[in-house]
Order: sequence, then structure tokens, then C-alpha cells
Amino acid sequence: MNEHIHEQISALMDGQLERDETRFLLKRLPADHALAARWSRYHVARQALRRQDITATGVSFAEGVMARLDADQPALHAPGVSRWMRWSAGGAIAASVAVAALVVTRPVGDVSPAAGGASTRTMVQQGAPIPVATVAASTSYPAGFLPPLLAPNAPVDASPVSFGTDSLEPLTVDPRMQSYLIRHYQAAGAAGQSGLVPYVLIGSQQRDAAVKPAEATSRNR
Amino acid sequence: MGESDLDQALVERVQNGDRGAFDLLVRKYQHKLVSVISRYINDWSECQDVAQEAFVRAYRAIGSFRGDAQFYTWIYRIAINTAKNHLVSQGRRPPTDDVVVEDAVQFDGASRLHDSATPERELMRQEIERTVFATVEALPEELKVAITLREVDGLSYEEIAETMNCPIGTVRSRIFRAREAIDEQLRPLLSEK
Repeated sequence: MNEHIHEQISALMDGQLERDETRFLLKRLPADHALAARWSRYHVARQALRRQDITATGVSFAEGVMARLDADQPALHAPGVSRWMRWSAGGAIAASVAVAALVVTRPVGDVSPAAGGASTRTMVQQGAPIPVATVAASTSYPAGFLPPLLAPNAPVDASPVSFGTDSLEPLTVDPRMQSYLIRHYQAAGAAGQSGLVPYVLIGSQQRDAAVKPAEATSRNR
Repeated sequence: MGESDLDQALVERVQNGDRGAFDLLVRKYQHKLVSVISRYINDWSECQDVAQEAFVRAYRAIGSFRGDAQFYTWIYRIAINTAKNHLVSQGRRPPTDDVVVEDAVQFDGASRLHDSATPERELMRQEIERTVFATVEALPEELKVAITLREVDGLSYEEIAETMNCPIGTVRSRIFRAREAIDEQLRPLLSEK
């Protein structure tokens, strides 16, 4: 039995093993100390016969490498994490960014027909929108806690984003939002999902003059 | 499946989360890689440490390996960079003359590749070489021819079968028996390391 496996190792290193046998052996080899050591020695012999430069390293060398990998393997960076995990992690980040972008910027929630004029967007939930500043001001939070910018029960605009000529007001970039998105993008990039959220620049239209700078500052806290 | 195809298959397994496959790549290339790094770093334990670090870096970056180059060429570059970075971090100056990967793996006892080897390591290298060649010399003729055609001339099993006028199964068996004979002599040398 052992001799059969040894012969399989020999054929494997020549790339002459059947696919099924290869799969079986690749599973078994790393788990069996003696077989893995034999695999290593067969390669030393090969390198000597081919007059390649070799330095005999101890049997513990590979174990040392694997121990180092055990010690400092970051969860999402490891090749060991399956692809669907990476995709789902990236997807979750992308989704959260998208939701935050939709809700926080409130692109049409406070646009009155008189002010907004020709907007074709429709509200999913009809009714008076709750200004974010009001929600933030009416709730007390512990020091250092940043309240979520999503106002409960606030209407959600599910209409497609329009880049038509009906939005002629100048766009103002919210630096907090921008920095938030950049951090998310970096996190997504670090998780190997750089292609998912390339870069989203959010501009919030300053249509509502009712939000005063002082209120906006209190909202930021 | 050729030898480089096997490396590629192992890399793909690593990329899909199989760390055991990476263990096999380490065991396959550790002797070569330590040898390359020993050109830059004389101290034996430091050399092994840097070689292990090079493998760890390779593992971290293996997701980006697409098989455009051979795996050994890729990991060789990582090893050289790791060794140079190590020297710089220690305030030492890395050598400016690099050796191309194809030259670096070839033996040449008189070449500058071994200038930095300690006498003990050089002795061990020679001992391994002597043991392997003496064992092959003592093999029965059909085993000697089979292993030489395979390892020295690089023929495939099919080509060896044609040359020796025997079935492929016989070639496989002869090559294996030759390797077993060499391994029996090599094991005591390597187990001490």
C-alpha cells in the first residue's frame, strides 16, 4: 500500500498521474508527515541530478512556514477564504454605501413642487418628510456617539437617479459623506473588491434653505 | 500534465483555499529558495528565516499569481526582494548584481553563486550530489537509463517508453524504483538537517 502511494508521488512530480489519483494524493500528502517529507526528498534528488543549486534545509522548514501563516493570517486577505465570502463581504459594503448614499443625501425629500418644479421623481411614501436635523436634535446621545443619519420613518426615494436638465442648482459636496465613502471604498479595496465600488461622489443639493448652518453643525455631532 | 502544469494546479488549489497545496509547493522549492537567498545572507538561521518570510509573502500575494510566468520564477523574485529588503532593514547594503533566475538554479561549484556558502553548507551540497550520483551509478541498467532520461534529459514517460521500447507503466515503475534507491541513501543525510 505504502509503495503504491510512493509510486504515485513519483508519478505526480512528473505530472504523470491520473486526475483522480492526483486529487486524492494532493489531499493526502500534506496531511501525512512522512509522505510530505518524501515528496521533498524526491525533489532534492531531482535538483541534484539536474545540477541545480540546492541547499539542504531541515524537515521543520515547511512546518515553520505554515506556523507563520497560522500566526499572522488576516481573515479576509487569506487565499483560504472562499470566493463567495469575499464577494458577500464586498457586496455588503457596497450595499451599505448605496443605502447610506440614498438616505443621507435626501435628494428630493424636501423639494416642494414650487421649488423643485419639473422633477419627474415620485415618492414611494407620500406624506410630510421628517427633516433629518429635527430627528437628530430631538434625541440625546452619549458623548462621542455619532447618531446614524438615517431618520426613522423618513420617506425613501426609490426613483432612478436623474441627470436631466431639471437639476440646475449647483451641487454641494458634503465632505463628511465623501470621507465616509472613501473609507468604505478603501475597506472594499482591502477586501479584494476594488471593482465593486469604484468611487462614488455624492452631492447634496442645497435646495432647502431651512437647514441652517447651526443646525447642520448640531447634526454632525 | 507537465511539471509546470502541476505547479499551476497547486497554485489554483491554494487560491481556492487549500493550504495543504501550498505546503507542497514549499516542500518542493524550499531547497532552491534557501540556496538563492544564501547568496545574499550568509548567516544560516537568518537565511532560513528570510526564506520562510519569502514564502509567507508569496502566500499572501498568491491571489495575484495568474500563471503568466512559471511559479518558481515568480517566487524567486519575491525571495530576492525579501532578501534585499531584509539587508536594507538591517542597515546593510544588498549586492547590486542580480543573477537571472535561469542561471541561479544551475550548479557550478566554481561560480560566484557559492562564494558566500559556508564550508559546512558547501560540504553538505557536495555530499548530496555525490550520494545521488553514486547511487544512480550503482543502479541496474534499466533503472539508470530511465531516471537519467527523465531527470537529466527531461523526456516524458511516453518518450522514454518509446526509447526503451517498453510500456509506460514499466517506465513509471522503473523511475519510481530508481527514486526509492536514491531516497534510501539521501534520507540519513537530510533527516539530520
